[in-house]
Amino acid sequence: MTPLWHAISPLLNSIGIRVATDSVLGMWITYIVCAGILAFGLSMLVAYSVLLERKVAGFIQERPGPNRAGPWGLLQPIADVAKLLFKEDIIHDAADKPAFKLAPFFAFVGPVMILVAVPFGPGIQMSAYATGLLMVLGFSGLAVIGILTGGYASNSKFSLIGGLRAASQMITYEVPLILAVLAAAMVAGSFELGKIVDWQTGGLMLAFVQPVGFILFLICMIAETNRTPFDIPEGESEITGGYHTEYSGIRFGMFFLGEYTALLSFSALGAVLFLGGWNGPPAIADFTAAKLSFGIVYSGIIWTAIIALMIGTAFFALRQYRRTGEFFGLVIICLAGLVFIGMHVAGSALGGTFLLQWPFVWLCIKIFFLVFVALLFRWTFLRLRVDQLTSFSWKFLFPLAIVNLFVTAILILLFEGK
Amino acid sequence: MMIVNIGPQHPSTHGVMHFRLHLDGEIIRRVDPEVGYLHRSIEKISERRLYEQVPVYCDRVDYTCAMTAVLGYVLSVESLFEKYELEVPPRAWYIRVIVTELQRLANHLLWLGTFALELGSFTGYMYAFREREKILDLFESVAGERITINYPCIGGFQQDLPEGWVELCRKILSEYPRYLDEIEDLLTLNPILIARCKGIGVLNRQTAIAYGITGPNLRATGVKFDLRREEPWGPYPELDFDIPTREEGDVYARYLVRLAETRQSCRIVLQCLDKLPEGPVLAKLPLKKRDISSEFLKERGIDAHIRTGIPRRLCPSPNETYRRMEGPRGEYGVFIISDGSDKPYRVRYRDNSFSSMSAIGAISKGHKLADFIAIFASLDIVAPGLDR
Repeated sequence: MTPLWHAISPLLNSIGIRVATDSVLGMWITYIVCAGILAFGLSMLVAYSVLLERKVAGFIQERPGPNRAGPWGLLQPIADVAKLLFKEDIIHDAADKPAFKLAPFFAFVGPVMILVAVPFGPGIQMSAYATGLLMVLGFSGLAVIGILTGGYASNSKFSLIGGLRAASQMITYEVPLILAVLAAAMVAGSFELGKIVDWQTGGLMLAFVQPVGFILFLICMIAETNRTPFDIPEGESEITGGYHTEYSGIRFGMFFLGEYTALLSFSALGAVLFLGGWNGPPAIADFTAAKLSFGIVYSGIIWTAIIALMIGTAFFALRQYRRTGEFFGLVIICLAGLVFIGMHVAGSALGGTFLLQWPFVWLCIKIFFLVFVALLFRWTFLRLRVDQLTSFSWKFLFPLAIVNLFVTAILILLFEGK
Repeated sequence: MMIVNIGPQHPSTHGVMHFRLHLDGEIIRRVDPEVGYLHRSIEKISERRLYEQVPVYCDRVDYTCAMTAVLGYVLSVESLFEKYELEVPPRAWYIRVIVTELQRLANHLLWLGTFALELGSFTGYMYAFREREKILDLFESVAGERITINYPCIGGFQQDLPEGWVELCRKILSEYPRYLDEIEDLLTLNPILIARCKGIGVLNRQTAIAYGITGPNLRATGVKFDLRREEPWGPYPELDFDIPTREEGDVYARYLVRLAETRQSCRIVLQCLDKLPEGPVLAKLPLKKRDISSEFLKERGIDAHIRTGIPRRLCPSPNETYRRMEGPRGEYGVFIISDGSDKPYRVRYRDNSFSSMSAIGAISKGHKLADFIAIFASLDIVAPGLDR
């Protein structure tokens, strides 16, 4: 909190308010300012990630996407939210009213709370709990209560099926998610998100050290945020709207924005855990032997395989595909992979302090990279069936996560055990 | 056991259809399909109109393939006459094949789009509709309408193809296989699509025949039955095309058969464009002065002396006919009884949607709710075909 306070106190001083740094008042002012920044910044980010989604979808599908409200449709999110606010809020007679009203807030608050523990820059973190990661995972499970409550309270069969599907899906995918995150935390040696980022400062990103964990996290992230190919809780063609079938107006909007908030929060979590958080590209001198020795052994083979696979896919794609969105997606993913490798190399060449003054920008770049991957998934894949979805998690992801955890533990003992 | 109503208003029925699903958790135990939500009395209206006026209603019989629906009626009326009475010129026959096959292409693309949408791929939907739009543009330039087209008329066509249409059509269709490859790259080998479609909703040969299912749904069960080969009309015998079939009879087989059919339709149209003869497009119609009794006139208070002013009409001699053709979703047949007057005594339209709808209960039992949507989408049932 201290660096945050250092940023705020000169501002307060300049308008004539003088507060002692360690006073209770100072603490509360910091909290309120943080909450304000988070609320405003987050709502803008969420709104514009909706626009990004629609623009990317338009690009993949060879159509312009929203382009009427403002230049390039930049005012579209504002128009959307205004529409949702002014729409009639219908609560039908058969609904369980208190639960019906409460459900959207759970769905929205859970994902927002994830951001509390995310470090936005060196020391700029709202709460630096020692068990921050566990707290975040707990909050991520809160959304399912909202969805289940919404499904139950709507008193509609579609909503009930949607709610039940959501519950089974989120519980199923939480297990490999936690195991994947745990492996990352083991390597970094801390549950505190700030410390995990510090571990990556000047070293390898955890995605390079924990490639399997990163891929598991990516898959589980998309499942946890209920997006295609895992969007069965709201599978439009089957159960119309799933848990939000009976919702309208801003209550529906809360579910809708909650989904995008969850996407952003999980992307932020992914960026912090696996992509080095607010770090820019490190210098080659910072590749210290201690961090590298373990990283090279585990990640070397797997990353070589992945890069070979990417190059192979790219060759296959160039031969086989023409102008498809899938081809476009493959090229983007390949390029993104190369950019990540290139970033480390470029960082080494340009010196460690390159762009480090802009930690938040780096974090945003990483967050939006993960959001973009989720968008590409959504617009190129189809929807899985409910039993395929759960069996994919229990029969494939879960064993893989367990094996990854054990291999990581053994390697830590071998290379870093003292 | 939970009863869930899919429809009459549901995002994936695309029209007003109604299924009552008896669910055990997610597993379907029983399906009760209900029809009757889209009854527009077209058959009764047809009995009250002149033969020439009925095609205007036919495009509503099946609004996803209006060209075929109108042509089916037109062919049926023409078969009420002797060959020498009504001789449709060769150019008209070729144009008829072209527009029917284009309609098949448009219908299969519409089907592909909605099928992809049902399985959650919005991009597949947009790609299929992008191609369909080009064909609808072709329809617009020949008939002025895009969906409910009234281009064919008794005896041929009222107007010839517009200038430059043949070249435009050839250009669009020669590009089509390449764009279809693109869609197939996105969908056909997609592991999720295969997981969702293979072995789902298996329709065996006996069931299909028992329910009277025809068209791509039947050919996906391995029966090589196509009315373009069995009862060809116009230039079909001279054209070179394959009839794609699959043995499995599941959702994936139906998907593959339809995609293969669009490629064949494309081939047929390109051949027809090459062979397209010159000449008139409308036959001389055997119009007759109606045999109107003086009683009829007296009833309506019309003086006998203005009888000469009554226009001559198409009045087939008393007869009955059932003429069937291969529509995009199977046998499309029109049954007409004529009684010698200028209006049909009885018109009955047969569309394959009803047969497919009847079989859906038998083939979706034991599957999941999500599979039901895939099965239902793969059968290509459209609401207007269920009840006229």
